[in-house]
Amino acid sequence: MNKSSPLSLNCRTVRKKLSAFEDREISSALRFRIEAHLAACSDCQQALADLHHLWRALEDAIPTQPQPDFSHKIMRKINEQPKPRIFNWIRALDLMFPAPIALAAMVVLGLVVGGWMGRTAMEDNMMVTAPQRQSVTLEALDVFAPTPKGSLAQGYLLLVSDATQVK
Amino acid sequence: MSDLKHNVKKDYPSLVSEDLMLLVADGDKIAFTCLINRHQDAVFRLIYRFFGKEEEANDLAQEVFVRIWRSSKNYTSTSKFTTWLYTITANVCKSEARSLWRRNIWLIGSFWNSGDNDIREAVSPVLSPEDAAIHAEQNRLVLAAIESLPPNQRLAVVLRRYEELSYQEIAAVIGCSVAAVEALLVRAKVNLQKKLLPQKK
Repeated sequence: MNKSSPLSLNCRTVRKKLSAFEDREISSALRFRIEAHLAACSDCQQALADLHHLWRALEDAIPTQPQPDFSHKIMRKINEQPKPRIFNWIRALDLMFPAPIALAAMVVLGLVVGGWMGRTAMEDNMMVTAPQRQSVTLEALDVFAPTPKGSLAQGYLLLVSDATQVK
Repeated sequence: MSDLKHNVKKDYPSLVSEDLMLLVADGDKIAFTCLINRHQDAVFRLIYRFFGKEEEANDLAQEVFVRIWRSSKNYTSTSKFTTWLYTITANVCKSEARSLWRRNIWLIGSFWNSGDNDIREAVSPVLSPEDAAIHAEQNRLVLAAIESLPPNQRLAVVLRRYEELSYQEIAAVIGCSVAAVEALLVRAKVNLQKKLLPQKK
């Protein structure tokens, strides 16, 4: 949209005001300026049509109604003697720790417990003697060998070597 | 109002809600029952659209009226009753939405509830079974899209679209400026367009 006069609006400004324009919640002066812009701008016309479409799409029929004894239930609650106020710890905790804080607390707790368990396991590992640790390390490195222990290739090699020894 | 208080035989249904509320402030339970009957549908609809659950809507709508009874002394005749009613309803909805326990219970419940909540199918005798199913699916999508909005955007959309409140009234209910309501509605409409319109094309 080209600016034809100082009073004309650009698309960005019109888009911001389009919702209020559709709801008829803007001054008549601004309405007049937006209408002038819309007459010349097909993109903004489309944006307004989309808003109309959305508003129509929100049309729904609520399939339910309040319960038939709705007012009786309220009157019963009102007529009940007020109970002595007991401090509700669960409610107080709920208010004190909303969901994001509770989640953050759980994550921190998880990290602390996980760290402690990992440290304990490391300490247990340190108790293993040096030769034991060396054999465990060598067994672990065996997976990189061309014929790892227990593999088909190793079985074949053993078979071939046994056969040659017999001869 | 003094006429109202001293008039022995009151014609309750003919009184406006503001006058009924002043009687409620004096402990008049008949006036209160009349107010409930007059506004229960609006309160229920607002909460149902906010949470999309019938049982929740019934419980919280009752909570709204109990709060109205308990705080009836705070009502001033200068304020419009519906604005006050919607303000209390909005506060109940927002505090419930903030509740950690509610969210947790629903999260656990969703594992065996197949995510359909209790959005019932609105079966109309005029519609064929196929049309009724399409209609019910559309209702479900609309409610789910509204429920996905942040609380204030949700309130602004429901109050504007379904209760037809002005921006000024919505601002009074939510407790913000008119400009803030405008911004909330712009953002809400953008979010709803993303969720609803691509499926329609």
